[in-house]
Amino acid sequence: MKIRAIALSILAASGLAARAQEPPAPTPASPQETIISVDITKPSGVRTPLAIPVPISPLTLELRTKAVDPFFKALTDDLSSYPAFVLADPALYPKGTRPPVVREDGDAWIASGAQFLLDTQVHPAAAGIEVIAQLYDLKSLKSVLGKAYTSEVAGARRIAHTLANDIVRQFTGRPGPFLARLAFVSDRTSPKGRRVEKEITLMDWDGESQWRLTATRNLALSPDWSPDGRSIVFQSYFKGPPGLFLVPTAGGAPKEIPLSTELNASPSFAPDGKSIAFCGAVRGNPEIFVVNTDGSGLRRLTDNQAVDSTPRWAPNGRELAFTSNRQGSPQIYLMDGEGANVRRVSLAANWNDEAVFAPDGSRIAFACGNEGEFQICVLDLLSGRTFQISTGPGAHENPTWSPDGSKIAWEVTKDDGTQIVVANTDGSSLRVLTSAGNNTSPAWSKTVE
Amino acid sequence: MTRLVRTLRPAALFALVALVAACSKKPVPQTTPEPTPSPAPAAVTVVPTAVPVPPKPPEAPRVAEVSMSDKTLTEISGYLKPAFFDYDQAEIRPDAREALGADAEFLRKWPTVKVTIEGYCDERGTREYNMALGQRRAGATRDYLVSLGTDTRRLQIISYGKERPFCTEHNEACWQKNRRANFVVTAK
Repeated sequence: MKIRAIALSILAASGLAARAQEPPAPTPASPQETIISVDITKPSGVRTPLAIPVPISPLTLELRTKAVDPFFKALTDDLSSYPAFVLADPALYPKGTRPPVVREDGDAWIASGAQFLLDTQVHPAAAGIEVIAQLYDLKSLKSVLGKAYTSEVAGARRIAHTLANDIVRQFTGRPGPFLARLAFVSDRTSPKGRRVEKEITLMDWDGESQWRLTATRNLALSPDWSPDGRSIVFQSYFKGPPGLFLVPTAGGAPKEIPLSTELNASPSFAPDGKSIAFCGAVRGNPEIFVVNTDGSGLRRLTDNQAVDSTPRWAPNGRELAFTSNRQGSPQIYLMDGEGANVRRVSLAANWNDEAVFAPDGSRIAFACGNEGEFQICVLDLLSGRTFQISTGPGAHENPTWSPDGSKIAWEVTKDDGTQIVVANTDGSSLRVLTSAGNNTSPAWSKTVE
Repeated sequence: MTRLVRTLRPAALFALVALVAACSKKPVPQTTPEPTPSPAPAAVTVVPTAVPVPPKPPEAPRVAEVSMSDKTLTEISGYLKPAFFDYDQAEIRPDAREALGADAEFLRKWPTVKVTIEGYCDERGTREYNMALGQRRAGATRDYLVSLGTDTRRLQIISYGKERPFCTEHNEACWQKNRRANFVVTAK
């Protein structure tokens, strides 16, 4: 039995209910930005067509390769994939009409299908480069957003992500996910012909800037970010029986959380950052536990002879989702922070696991399947309706939401290995992020930065 | 069986050495030769009337105290049979009872041996739940061995879920190999 996609609605960013815990407005250390002018435009329920022509740039060929091209690719990748936008066809862009000054200029751009024009210039600057961006409403010909960003040349992609976040904020009131990062598990540094090693690895949302965070030379699994983004908790076998470890995301030595339980799998940071839920075992029986990050205050939330696994905090910090086979097959349940009020929420499919709450708490994404055929499903907790957002062969599992709730990343296992993909929450704009080795268990950082 | 033959080997070797020593031993002169100035006395050769027959080696000794110091932990691990499981199950099946019965017997004979029981799952389950299921399989295996008399302090359990599988093909034969509790000897 397969779950059918019942309805795939474009997730307008305006449809995202206000989150209980709105993160502080991002203040990126780099690049520096100067607000030229801001004019709030109401969010729209449909995809707004944008024209994003190649930046105007007097740079040398070398700087073009190192700065302009990476900037432009990141900017168009970000905005073309975002559910509130669609890019107009570059083949139809008019020439010599930037910025649009007179009505004819605006009409020439509108003829390409665009409603807004994102005009950018890249210049050399003392620090490296300066990017000047203007967003024009092609009907009024007014600049609704104007910003200048400066950074070192190597920061060109970061400027693009910062600008893309600002464009999204312009339309939705909240920044996009483009500065958030993903932690994941990779075996790419595992030695050939020896026991498999897996390490926690980080990357940008678009798969760029991948770098290895741990060097356990063993198994490092199931990463989850602290809410402030400063550390990652993971399960590892590098001291023998598996334990939970915290590692700074800026790099450093992992610190073990002292635990008296066995197994110590699937850690999930509480939204307040003070405690961690995990799957621990006593006498061979996996149960859900919560422990403070220093190892104190260990408490058990479940007490059942069945397998209880995969705890995940709700964003309000009062509930957890988890998986149990107490009714025969693995299914998703919710309970409160004391382990009471247990109720099953997954109904279809005979194996459901790895539930993760949307940042606004209204939905959970999870792996839903039968006998190895897994897809990613999203359950709307209010209506009880389930949507399948992934398609195609292979085992799709371990979903994770972007901190703004607009995207979901997950892992797909096919015959040639496991890779991480990302898509909008309706499954659109699918993109493969990894290729070297096998890559699993993506976990999105929880702040938009 | 191989094990027993190997433990026999020192005894058999000793018997062989004794046999060779017996054959090459110089016979003791029967009489004191009378002093004769000349000629030089001919060498006295006495042919023994009967070649000593070495005692027949005893039946295979069952000596549990003999250490396994000449074997690696990996080699000893090979004596312990894994328990296999059904899909999404941690129940000890009849075939697993048989395997674990032999394992319990082995552990009774070698009381200094300590093991880690590793729980594994096939690739058809999800990563996180399988990690818990593998723990459950290792735990069920430990419980069964304890019920057969093995001291629980000799048995550590660990789950690998669907990590580090034994077989990487995508078919039932392979999946069955991966749904197991595996033994790794950690002390001998």
